[in-house]
Order: sequence, then C-alpha cells, then structure tokens
Amino acid sequence: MRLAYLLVLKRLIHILVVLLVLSFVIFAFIRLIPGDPVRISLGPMVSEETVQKMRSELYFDRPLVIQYAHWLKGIVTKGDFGLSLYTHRPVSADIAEYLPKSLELALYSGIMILVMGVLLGTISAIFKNTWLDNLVRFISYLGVVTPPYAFGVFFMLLFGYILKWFPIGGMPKIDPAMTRTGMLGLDALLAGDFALYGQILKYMFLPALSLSLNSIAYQARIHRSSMIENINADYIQFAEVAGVKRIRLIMKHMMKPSFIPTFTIYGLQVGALLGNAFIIEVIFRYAGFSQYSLNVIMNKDPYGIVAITFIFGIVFAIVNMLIDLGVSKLDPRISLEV
Amino acid sequence: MKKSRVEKSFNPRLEALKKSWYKFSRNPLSLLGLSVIMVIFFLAIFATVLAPYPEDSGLSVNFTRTFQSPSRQHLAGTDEYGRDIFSRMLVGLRYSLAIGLLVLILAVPFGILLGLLAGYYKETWLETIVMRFTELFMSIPPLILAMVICTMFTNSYFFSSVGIAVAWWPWYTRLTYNLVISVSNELYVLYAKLSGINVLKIIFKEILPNIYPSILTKMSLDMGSIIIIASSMNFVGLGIQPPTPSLGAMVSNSISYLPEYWWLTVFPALLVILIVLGFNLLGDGLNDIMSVEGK
Repeated sequence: MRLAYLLVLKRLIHILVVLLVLSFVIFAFIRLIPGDPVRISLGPMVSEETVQKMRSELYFDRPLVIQYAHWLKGIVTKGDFGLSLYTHRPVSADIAEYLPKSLELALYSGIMILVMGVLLGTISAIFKNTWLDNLVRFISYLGVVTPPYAFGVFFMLLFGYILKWFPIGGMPKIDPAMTRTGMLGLDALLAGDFALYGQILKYMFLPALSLSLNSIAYQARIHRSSMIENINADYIQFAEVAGVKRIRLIMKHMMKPSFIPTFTIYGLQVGALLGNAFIIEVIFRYAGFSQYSLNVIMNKDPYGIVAITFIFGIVFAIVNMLIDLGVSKLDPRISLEV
Repeated sequence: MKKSRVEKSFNPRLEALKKSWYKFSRNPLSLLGLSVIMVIFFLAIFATVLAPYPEDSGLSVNFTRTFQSPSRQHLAGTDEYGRDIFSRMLVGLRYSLAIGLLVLILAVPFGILLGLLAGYYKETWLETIVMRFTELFMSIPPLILAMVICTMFTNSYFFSSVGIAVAWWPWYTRLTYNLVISVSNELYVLYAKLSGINVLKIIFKEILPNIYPSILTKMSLDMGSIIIIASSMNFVGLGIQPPTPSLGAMVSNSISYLPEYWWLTVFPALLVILIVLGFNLLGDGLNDIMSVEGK
C-alpha cells in the first residue's frame, strides 16, 4: 500500500514536470506564430492604443520567460489560465463550462467500451471458431478500420433520420438553476428529474456509441486473444478436472487474468477519448470541451491553446496512472516501478 | 559455368523473401489486403485519367445537374455545385494517400534514428534525453498536437502532414528502442562490438536489417491510422483547402444535406473505410509472417 502512495507521488511529480516543459514549449511556439494574436482577435477596426493596452495586460509585450512566469503564477495562486482571445472570457471559466460535458460523454463511452468490449471478447473466446466467433471477429475488424466520424454519419442517417429512434443531435435544454456540476445528466439526477435524465441519455446515446465503437472493437480483439490464452492454461484444465462449475470457471478463473492486457489497452483508449471526441461533438452539435478546443485551435487563441493541451495532458496522465494501479492490483506479480 | 549458376541460385535473402511470400500468399485475407492496396494506388495514380469528369475536382459549377442521385452518368451522384462525386473521390483518394506517405517519410526516419541511438547507447545520458523528449510528445493526444501544429504554421496540405508527423515519430522511436534493446544482447551484435567495427556500421549493418520487418509492419498499419487522422483534420477544415477535394471535407460539408442527399456523405466515408481496411489487412498479413518467423 505504501508503495502505491509512493508511486502516485512520483508519477504526479513526473506529470507536472512534463506538463511544465510542454506548456513552455507551446508558449514559445505561439510567440513564433507570424501575426499578432491580439490584433487578430480585436479586428482591424480597433485603435492601436487599445491593442497595445490589451497586449500589455496579457504580457505579450514582455519577454517570453516573464510572460510564462506570470501565467504560471496565475494558475498556482488563482487557478487562472489567462484570458481567452476567442471567447473574451477567462479560460478557466470556459473550461469549467465545457469540460464537464465532455467528461460525461467520455464517461458513458468508457462504460460502453468496457462492458461491450469485454462481453464481445468473452463470447468470441468461449465460442472460438464457430459462426458466432467469426461474426464477432468480422464486426470488430470493421469496427477498427472505420473512422469515428463515419460511424457518426451512418448512425445519424440510420437511427436518426430513417428509423427515428434517436434525436439527430444537440442536447435538451436544462434549467440553469439545476446546474451544479456542469454535467447535464448528473445535474438532472441531482435535481431528481429522472424523466429529463432519460431524455439526456437518449441524446447522448448516438454520440457516445460513435465515439466508443473503435475502442469496443479493439478491446474485443484484445480480450478475445487473452481469454484464449487462458483457456489453454494448465490451471484452467486442472480446475475443470477438479469439477469447478463452468460459469464460475469462466467468470472467475478465466476472466481475472484476462483483464490484465485488457485493462492496459483500456487505459490508452479512455485516455484518448477526449482527444478523439471533437469530431463527434461537431457532428452531433454537442457543445463540449473538444468542440471548444477545436475553436480555440482554429482561432489561434494563445492562452486557450496552452490551457487545453495542459488539460489533455493531465487527463491522459491521470487515466494511465489509475490503470497502472489497477493492473498491479489484478496481478501482484507485476511490481510497481517506483 | 555450371558451378557459378548453383552459387548464384542460392541467395539467402532471396530465399527468405520467397519463403515469406509463400506464407503471405497462403492467407486469403492478406492477399485481399494487398489487392485492395494495389487497386487503390492504381486509382490514385491515374485519378485524373480515370475520372469521368476531371474538371470537377476543382472549382467548377454546373447548375443543370445539381444533387443528382447515383446513376450511370454519375456513379456516386453529384453535389450542390453539380460536381461529379466519383471524380472528386478519386482525386481526394490521391491526396489521402499522398498525405499518408508524406507523414511516414517525415516521421519514420527521424523516429528510427532516435530509437537506434537511444537503444544502442542504453544507460547513458543520450538515452535519457531522447526518451524523455519522446515522452514529452507522447503526453498529449496525437490529433490535438497535430492540429495545434498545423494551425501554428500555414493551414495547408503540407503543414497538416508536418503536424501529424510531429505527433507520430515518437511511436517509431519507442518501437525501435525496444527492438534494439532486444537484439543488442544477441551474439552477432556482441561479436561486432568486440571486433571493433565502427559504431555506425554496427547500427546500420547489423542491428537495423534485423529489426526492420517489425517497423515495416507498423508502417502498413499506421498508413490507415494516419489517413483517418488526416481526414479527421480535413473534416474540420484543416489541411487540404477547398475547392481541392479531400475525403474528410466531402463528408463534413454534406452532413447538412442528410438524409435526402445521402450519397454525398456515404460514398466518401465508405472509401475511407476501404483504404484503411486494405492497409490493416496488409499489415496483419505482414505481422503474421513476422511472428511465425520469430518463433
């Protein structure tokens, strides 16, 4: 247990160092961009004086190191990521508004990936080399090679327009008084409005599915092969001879060791969800963090770009750390490298 | 004369290649992948010759034939400007493949070089610097990194490739690094070291020829992923600029015309799936040969 704390501490320091270097590099890059971001943001009609004032407020007239130090001080002391030149609001306010929405979408996708990936992989492994296995393998192959936006478009056409089972995009309106966490579904739940929650889930289904299908397919392939490896293991044959019930054999003895590679891959997939979500958010008109990031990037908003790469880095790193901890719980032989 | 022919006929590299091809050709899926790739490259190279309406790949307007559904004249229908979708798809295909190749050309040599150095000089400061540097680039999602870099420079076809390449090389460094470490304890490397051969010669003549098959496999699989990333960037308007067709932009521009004019989105999306499928089948086929040989 002590080891785990040490690992978390060391990883956190490591993440911090990486992010500091990364944000500095991005800052340096932004200064190299031709054209003045402040002038671009304010437009050509604004007087030179105003631009100059804004520039000095944002520390663009100071040397790079001083600007960076000022930015860092803002984060550490006030949680302030600077002013967005695109939304003309503090970046931290934008993040607080958009990030929870994307995290909620990623949460549902993450659940789908784990449940469906493991389920399909298990079915495929148990019924190895039957038509069922071949069907699952065929579908997961297609799932791996299809880009998420193609899923989005196909589902929108099929389930949204032709069958009309699900809404084609957007989100239901939520009473501002209800907003507590910024996650629409969770807010509806906290307010005890289950009908609204059901409606939100209905809106979320197609985006979450389009976002997760690549990973479901990949996960199913990984889980299948690791299950098959375990089916042939000595201890399974022994357990079978010893008369362990088949359900118990599959659920306990085969599942648990098979989860190790599954979990490792799962971490990578979930860590990448937020970064892959932007196109899905655009297609389904879901106003989340990924869509915000996209706008920030396209508008060359300096403080916005640094903030979003920072956030993506943190999410990616935290997910991976959690996965490493989980894997070491599953297999005590995998020692944590401290 | 006869003797020399016997000597000539025994070329170990050629024999190994023949053996690999035999194994490869025994798997129908691998062959399917190879044929898909060959057809796709053929179509891409002769896109402007094969396209029934080559002028439609640019800015051409023909209001007499807007939004026509697929027919014999227009295999994949026409768009809001009356341009032939099939012709645009062929030209878009050419750009997709070009970006994939360009990214690999930019990213792979750089990644391999760093990986070779870090792996060969294991446990030195060089390894530490290279691997930390690699980690830095791996710490944010590749798509976001590629987009940030693309917008920082000019938003064009070339710089979107540069952006993806910057996000992509670390994976080759890591792969090469691991491969080098696994072969550097092999006897042939140790003997080479002991006999005092030039370091560069050891790296490029002894180590590299023994690890390149795995790298080649990764390259084939990566072509698919890069094409997905590049078309995702096109989707939001990064990379190839209109009126030049790109498959991703063709899909995104016509989402608003769903469901009536479904052919505008469905056919380009299917073409992307076909390309990626081809490269994945080929990559898996190559992977199978390698893993059999490894055992």
